[in-house]
Amino acid sequence: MKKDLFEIEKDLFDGNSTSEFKALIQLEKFERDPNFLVSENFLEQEELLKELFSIDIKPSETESNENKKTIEGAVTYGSDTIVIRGWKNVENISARLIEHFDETVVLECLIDKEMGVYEEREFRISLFADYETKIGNLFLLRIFERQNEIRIEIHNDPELTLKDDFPKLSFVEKFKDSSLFKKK
Amino acid sequence: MKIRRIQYNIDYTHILTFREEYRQAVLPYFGFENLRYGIDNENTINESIRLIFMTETIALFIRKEGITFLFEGDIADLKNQTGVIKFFWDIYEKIKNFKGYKKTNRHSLIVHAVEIMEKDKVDSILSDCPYFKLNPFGKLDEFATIYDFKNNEKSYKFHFGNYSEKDIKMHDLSPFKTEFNKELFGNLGLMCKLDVFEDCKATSFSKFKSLLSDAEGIISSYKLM
Repeated sequence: MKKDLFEIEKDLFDGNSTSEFKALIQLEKFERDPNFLVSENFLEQEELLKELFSIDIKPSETESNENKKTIEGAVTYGSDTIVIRGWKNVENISARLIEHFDETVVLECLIDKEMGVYEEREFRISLFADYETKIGNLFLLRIFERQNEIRIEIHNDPELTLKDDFPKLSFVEKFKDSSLFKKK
Repeated sequence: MKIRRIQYNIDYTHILTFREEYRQAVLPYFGFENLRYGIDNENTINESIRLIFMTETIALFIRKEGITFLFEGDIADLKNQTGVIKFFWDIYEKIKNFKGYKKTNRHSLIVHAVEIMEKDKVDSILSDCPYFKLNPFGKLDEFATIYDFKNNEKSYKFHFGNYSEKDIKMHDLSPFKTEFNKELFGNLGLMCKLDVFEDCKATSFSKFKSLLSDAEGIISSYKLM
């Protein structure tokens, strides 16, 4: 796994593997610096990553030698290996907090920007621990899946969400006393 | 043919203030797990950044004259605005708000597709290539052909030929070494690459989907023998 990760990084940043990028740049008649793909910062990062990954850890699989008497174990005289598949990011949703009560937070979630489709979704307030649950605050929901499991990350950095994606709330203040909203 | 890799690019008029403005736009993404990055040409007018989202198998390349994403995986994941492509469009929206941004000039799509086939079938195609009426050599080791076409604002270039493992490196078919493209290793088949360019003053997710739909149509209409 460690080797794969390095190979992926090498390919993604290596001069040979980003020929498409170069091709697109050439179409713009723009010449790259020869150091384009080997910036000093990235090389430093590579060194750092090498150090970080030199620790021998196996986060994605566990082994047990206790089940040798299982049918598989009898045949392979080996170990029972459980491979935990990685998460897949399936949705990234910009959201604005529109209400919270008791143990519930209601978010206005942007589902289709071009069609202007929003959905209101409710979440347990515990997901927002240490975050300010003020009406109008912006969040980014990241949803991950793997077989039979789902995971939600809630990020409170307002810069991850475009303010313009949400209609203004201020009109409510402005027009709340308007005769348009008064019962006759 | 199965689409293996997609690259989408938006070109805008050079943003001379790019170096001063882009960091603020990408900074929020540094809170994500599995994000890797590289800065190129630091402290020059050509400073640019690559953001590699390892979990999403998508790489963003953001520079003063354009923004590009490279994706390896199932294209169905790109047809949803809230999918892995969201960060690309959000950053593009931010770039449009840069002080130095003037206008978008065009967008383009590069799609690679590979159909894996049995060795016997590929050998038979190379022995008597059904895609050429004229063939000066008889049995071929390799073959490739290019079709160029222009329709209004769109230009197309379609490359077609046989596939072997060496194309993985040559065309960078599996930059993330995903499970999705595992079958490319050690197998043979046919391959195509389609480039679509369109001049436009503004682009959007729906325009991207339109290009993608064009690409899917062209690739699927090319009947394999």
